[in-house]
Order: sequence, then C-alpha cells, then structure tokens
Amino acid sequence: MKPGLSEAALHRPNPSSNEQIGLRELLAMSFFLLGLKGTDTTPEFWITFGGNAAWMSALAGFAYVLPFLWLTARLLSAAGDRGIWALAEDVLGGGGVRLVFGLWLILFLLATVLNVRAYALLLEVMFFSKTPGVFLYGLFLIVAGYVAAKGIETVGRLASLLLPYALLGYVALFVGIFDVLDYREIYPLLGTGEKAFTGPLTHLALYVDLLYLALVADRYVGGARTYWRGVVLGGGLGALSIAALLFVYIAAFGYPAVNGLVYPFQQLTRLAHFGWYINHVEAIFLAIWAIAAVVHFAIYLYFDLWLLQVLLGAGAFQRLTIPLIGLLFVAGLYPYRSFTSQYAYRDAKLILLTAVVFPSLILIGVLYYRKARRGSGRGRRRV
Amino acid sequence: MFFLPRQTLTAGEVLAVWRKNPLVTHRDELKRRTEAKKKTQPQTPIPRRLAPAIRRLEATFHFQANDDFRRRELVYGRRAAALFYFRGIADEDQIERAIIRPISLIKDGGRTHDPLRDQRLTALDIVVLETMEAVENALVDGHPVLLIDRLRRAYAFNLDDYPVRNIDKPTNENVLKGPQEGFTERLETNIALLRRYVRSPDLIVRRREIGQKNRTGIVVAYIQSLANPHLVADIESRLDAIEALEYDWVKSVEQLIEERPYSLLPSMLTTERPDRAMAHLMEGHVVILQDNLPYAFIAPATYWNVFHASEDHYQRLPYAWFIRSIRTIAFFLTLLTPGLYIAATNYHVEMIPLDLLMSISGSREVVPFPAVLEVFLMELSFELIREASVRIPSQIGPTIGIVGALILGQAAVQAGLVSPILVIVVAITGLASFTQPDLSLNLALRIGRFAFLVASALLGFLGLSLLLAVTLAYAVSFKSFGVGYYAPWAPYTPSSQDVFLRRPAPEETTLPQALLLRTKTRLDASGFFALFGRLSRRRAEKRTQAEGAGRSGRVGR
Repeated sequence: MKPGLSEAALHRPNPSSNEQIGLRELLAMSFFLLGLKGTDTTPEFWITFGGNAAWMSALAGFAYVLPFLWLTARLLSAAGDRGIWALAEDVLGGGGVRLVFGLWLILFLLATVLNVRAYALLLEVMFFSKTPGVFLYGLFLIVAGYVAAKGIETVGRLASLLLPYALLGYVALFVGIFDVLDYREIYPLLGTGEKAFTGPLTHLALYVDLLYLALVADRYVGGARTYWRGVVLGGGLGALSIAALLFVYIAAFGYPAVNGLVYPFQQLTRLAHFGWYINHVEAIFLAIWAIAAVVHFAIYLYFDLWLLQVLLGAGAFQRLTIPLIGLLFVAGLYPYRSFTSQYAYRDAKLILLTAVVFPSLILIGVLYYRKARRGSGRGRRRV
Repeated sequence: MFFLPRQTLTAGEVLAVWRKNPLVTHRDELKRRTEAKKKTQPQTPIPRRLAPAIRRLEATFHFQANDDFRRRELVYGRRAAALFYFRGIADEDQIERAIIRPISLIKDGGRTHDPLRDQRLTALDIVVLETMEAVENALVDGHPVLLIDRLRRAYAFNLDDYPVRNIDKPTNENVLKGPQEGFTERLETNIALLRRYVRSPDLIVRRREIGQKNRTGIVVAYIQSLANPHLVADIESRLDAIEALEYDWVKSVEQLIEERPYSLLPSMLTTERPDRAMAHLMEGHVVILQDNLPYAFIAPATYWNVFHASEDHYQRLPYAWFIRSIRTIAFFLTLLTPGLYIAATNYHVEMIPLDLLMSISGSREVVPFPAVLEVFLMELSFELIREASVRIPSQIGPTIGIVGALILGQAAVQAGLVSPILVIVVAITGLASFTQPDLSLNLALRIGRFAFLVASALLGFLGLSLLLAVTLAYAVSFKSFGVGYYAPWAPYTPSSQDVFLRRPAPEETTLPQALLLRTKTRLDASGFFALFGRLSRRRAEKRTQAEGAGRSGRVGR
C-alpha cells in the first residue's frame, strides 16, 4: 500500500456527517417531488388542459419552468452558493425578504395541508374505507415529519436509496398493464389543441416544488451547478414519468372516460397482472407508493420547517417539528364537502402559488441584475 | 448520572442525553477529570528497607488467608531479597530456573548486581517498578516480583502462566471455506493472532488498562498508513472517558463507547474471527480487543459490514453472489414475513390466489384466535425455543427439538390453536433469521419483526411501508463513529462496491473512502499503473507489429 493522501486531505469534510447532499440525492429528491404528482389527483389538471394530449401538457409545463430554474441557478451562482435567501436579502433588504418568503411559507403550508389531506382521502376512499381519514392524515404527517426532522441529509439519502425501487415499480406497473392498453385512445394527438400548451402556463405551480430546493443551495456539494443538474435531471425524469403515466391512463381507460376517474393510478394498479396467477397486486403498488409519498411530504415538511426556522430566527430546527405538525394537523381538519370542492381548493392554491412564487423570483432576479449593472452587485459566475 | 455536568438542560437536551451515551457526549469533561485526578492521586514509593515493603504486601494480599500468595526469601549478593508471586498464575518452573537458581548461584564475593544487567538472570522480560501500586498490579497480573533490601526499585519478571483455552474453531461464525480459528480469552494470544494475519510493520497495537481494583486490558489496533488519525483519536478519547470512571469490571467495552445505547442497530461489528478482524484492519477500521473476551470489536461498522460474512470473500465470485442473494432475501423474510402474512390475510385478501386463499381459510376455520394473536403467540414460542436452546445443558439439548417440533408444532395444530400455514410462516421466518452472520443484526431483525407485525396488523401494507420508511430514514441517519450506516451507498463514496454483491477479487482495489482513509487503493499505485502501462505498451507493440506485417504483406503482394 502506498499512502496516497496528504495530511490536509484527511481534514476534508466527512461525507457522512457534513450535512451536505450531492447530485444523486438532489436528483432523487427532484424526482420524488415531481414524479409522484402523476400518481395522485394532479393528473386531472393536465387532462383538463390537454385532453388526449395531457402527456404533452405535462412535458410542456416542465419546459415552461425550465427558464425559471435556469434563472434560479444563475442567481444561486451569483449569490456564491449561499442560497436564494441570502441573495434576496441583498436586494430586498431584511423586511422585504421576510415579506416575500413569509408569503412563500404560507403558500407552502397551504400546499402541504391540501396535498397531505388529499393523499389521506385517497387512501380512505381506495383502501381504508372504515378508517377515519383524519387518522390517516395525522399518521402521514407524523411519519413524514419524523423523516423531515432528521434533516436534508437524511431526506436526500432516503430518496436516493429508494429511487431505483420507485423506477422499478413504474416499470413493473407498465409491464403489468401492457395488455390492457389501447394506443388508439391517445388520438387526436394534440388533444384539446392550443389549450394543451397554454393551460399549464396558469398552473406553473405544479412544478414549483423544484424551486423549493433552491432555498438550501448552500447544502449542496457543488452549489448552483449541482442544483441545476439535479433539478433538470430529476425534474425531467419526474416529468417524463408523469407524461408516461398520463399516456398510459388515456390508453388504458380511454378519453374522456379518464376524466371521470379521481384516482387513475390506483385504478391502474388494480388492472396490473403478471400472468394468470399473479393478479390483484395493487397492495404491493400501494406499499411502494406510500413510501414514495412519505419522501415527497418529508421534503415538503423540511422546507416548511426550514422557512419557519429562518423567519422566526429559531435556533434548533427539530424543535419546530412538533408544533408545525400540530398546526398542520389542525389546519387539515377543515370540513370536507366533495371532490369538486377539494379540486377547487387545489386549483386556487396552484394559481396563487404561480402568481406569487414565480413573479417574486423574477423580481429578485431583476433587482439583482439592476444592482449588478450599477456596479454594486456581486460577481456573476457561469452556471 | 453523577458525572453529568451540572447545568440547566432544556427538555430537548435531556432527551438528547437520554438517547446518547453520556460517556461519549461528556468525554472531554471526563478526560479533564482523569487528568486532574492523576495529578492528585498519591503513589507510594517502594520503601528503602525490605521489611516495611513486605509488611505492606502481606497486608494487601492477605498473606495469612491467601494460600496461593507465595513469598520466597532470598539473598541477592550481600542483600536480603524477597520474591512474591501467586501460585497457579505464575510459572513456578520458570521462576526456579530463571530467577531463584541464578541468584542462589552467585559466587562473586557478595557483590550485588543490578538485576537488569545481571547476565545470569535469564528471564527475557524484566520490568522495573517504582511504586508499591505498580508492584501490586504486577503481582495480580501473574508476574513474580523481586524486592531487594536498600533498593527503592522492584523487578517484575514476565513469567505469568494464567490458565487459558487453546485456540479453537469459532463457535458462532462458522465457514465452510476459510480459516478455522477464533479468538480466545487471552489478550496476548489475540494480539498474536492479529499479528500473524497482518504481517506489516504498520500494524499499531496500543494497550491500556481500565479500572483500579480490577483492571481490564483493552487493546486498540489499527494500520498506521491507512486508518484516519481522527477516527483513532475519537476511539481513544472514548476509552479515556471510561478510564476516568474506574470501572471495576468492564463487561463489554462496546457498550461503553457506542454512541446510541438504545439503538437497535449495532454501531460496532463483533467478530470472533481473526481473519475478519484483519480484513477490516486492511480497510482502515480500528479493532478493539478486550481481556477475557474472545471477540474483537470493529469500529466503525456500516450496515454492509454487519451484513457480510467472512465466507463471502473466500468463495469464488458466482458462489459469493449466490450466498449473498440468499442472505438478502433472508433478511427481508426475517423482518417482514409475519407482517406480510397478517397484511395479506387481514387487509389485502384479493392478492392471494383463490386456491391458496381457500386453503388458508380452511386451515383457520377451527382456530379461535384472530390471525395477529396467532402469529404473535407462535413467534413468541419460537423465541422461547431459541432462547431455551442456548441455555439448555448439551446433554438434554435434543429435548428442545422434540418440544419445539412435536408439542408446539404438531400438537398446537391438532388442538386447533394455530393453523398449519402459520407454522410454515414462523418456520420460514426462523430459518431465515439464522442466515444472518452477525448476532447483533440477527437480534435487531428479530425484535424489529414484532414492530412490523404490529404495523401490519394496524394498517396492512400501508402500515408496513410507513414503518419501513421510518426505519430506513433512521438507518440512513444513523452513524457509527461518524460514518454513515449506509455508506458507501448513501452517502455515495468511492469504494470497491462491496455491498449487496461484490466485484471479482482483482477488481476490488478501491478502499472504502467513507472512512476518510490515508490511502485510496489497496495496490501500490505506481505498481498498478506500471502493470497496465506495460500491458498497453505490449498491446501497442503487437498492433504495430501486426500493422507492419500487413503492410509488408501488401508490399510483398
């Protein structure tokens, strides 16, 4: 054996405990943030926009978000990988940054409540009709909260460990339903026409989760560059999986019949079979989906906690977990009336998120570059 | 705990202290106390006259009451001397040959020599002692001690002869192919075994003793050119903390230096195989040996370390892959089979093929208990049998088989207490659990399966998956001496990818960098490149020759 490292190299950050994550973790987190949306009630939005071309709508939506991701990555790079908060503070000042990110937090919390509640409702309707939805809602919050409280290191590593199995699950599902697909259903190819491509513009918030990840860019090995590669590759993989699922939903259930299905993924898993003997395997897909959902909401809760901690100036991150979960649980007890109202709530939330997050990002970008032009900005680096 | 610093702690901090080992969290404070104590602790110098020294030793060792404490009065040159030792733990033949006979044969006019320079004293190892405490320690360690009148020093001869067990086959880590010897209870033998496997001048063996009245020998071994010095320092500082408390009896050093005593996951690998200890030393781990314990503790230990067996590397690649695959399947069977059975039969009956479902329902028809209670009772019975089989005297060992198979299996089914299918489920779970090579991991899985049983009884597959997510999150956040439990997977770090499967032996060249080793590869880098450089040169020469031949051929044609 020949000593290959210098003494200085021994002092490099320990990858196990430096509380940083790399491209693999970020890619997996992006995938779980976006990819899972194809398996809940979100496909209804894309199907409404695009009809038969819903799968194209999903991809178009991702394409529309790419410039914002690019802008975010540029800003992160300009901020010297300190995170978007630090850069926003430079251009908006202490009060401005609190106002903008306070709004972000409120909307993130709203999204968390509505989405977790929607998942609990899904479980109640499809699998646990005798179990109170509130119990499932609370359980999901506790489990996801536990994972989130462990920090981004744990969330990222858990996501990276589970990503291959999630992808394997998708492949298994596609193999399992291969013989029930009728590809003619996806025609007319352009579906509802131009609406298939303009519709997602008002609901860019369907992809807003990828911007959450910019909040903690200082935790990424490689900073802005890793962020850009992670969200593009992971988000792209997620968008592709959504598109593939939408394609399969339409091919399996037909259009417009698919529009009447509230939970197409779960219905699809009921159709999956492998030969004559292995059938009715939706429980196995439920297990995979539930783990993926835990990761998905753990990321949500992590960013909720992170924003709350920064806004309150709280010391320990974990101390906020129990109060936040309690708050979200109480907020999620709103009376449930119908699927239509649930859909309307989520629609309003998406429009609000789109109207707040994306313009505020543009505002930060414009202010930063104006400041930079005046010569007081920081040196910009290429992403 | 008395050694916790007195300060006001918040509820969260109290919880954190409860969850972590205070010996580890407060080690710096403990080390400071040890150093302060050492400064103030009085040491008794050896009296100039022999008589008071003898009186003190006789009083300390209860000379009148202790039949095996021996004193032999001698004359060394012109001076009176006394030799003390314990019969049975010191080699009396050697004492006579190497000490008493040479001293009694001195015929040089009564001149007293320095025993260290006395050529006639043939004992190999003579240690000079300056204090009475050191003399007492040497005596209980089995070393005969020579006290000489008007000398403020004593001499201990390394002639201990403690009864020890011979090197034997490992009892818990059997292999079909590979070395067949295990550690013993004697520290020196274990060090010798390590030295035999690691023939390198870089192997550092550092010995220390813990406790005042009853000292326990601890050895820390590592490869100097490989192990991260911060890791070694970390382990040493944890041992310093134990030393500060002067434990009279260290039962298992592992429990005193691990960070999370309540965790189901082991943070150190325990092995009774010197070859396994050597393999980890050569990957930059630190090995800790303890007196009177035929095991080595290896730190840090990742999931993969505890999951792998020694045999994996002695078997050829395809066989090793096969064995590991079986073990991986067994891992999940142990943890999940009872839970899966409950989830499938209680919540997701539609996934069971109809014929099988009818068979299960038929067999459960006469059983009066709900399935979950049935599983719980059978699993508990299996654990009872397993625990009894460890404690039962070997002469009546076969009784366990009769009790387990006939009474609990056949009779319970016939009495309608359990269904036959459940006996199969429990048998598969039990059988699978025996495949895990590490006892700690085995126990963790056995305990964990009860949690999965409860989760699946509550929410079927959803409960199983939620608990699995929590377990995985805990496991990836768990660290053993600062190294992630799932490294080199999560976090990803360069290694030979010896995880679920392994690479062919010649390709296992990268050392696991999760440990931040001093060295990156097992091979001498220059040798590696020289070899491949030569190969490529040879290839290039051949190509040139071939091209030349072709060209000349064409020219010839």
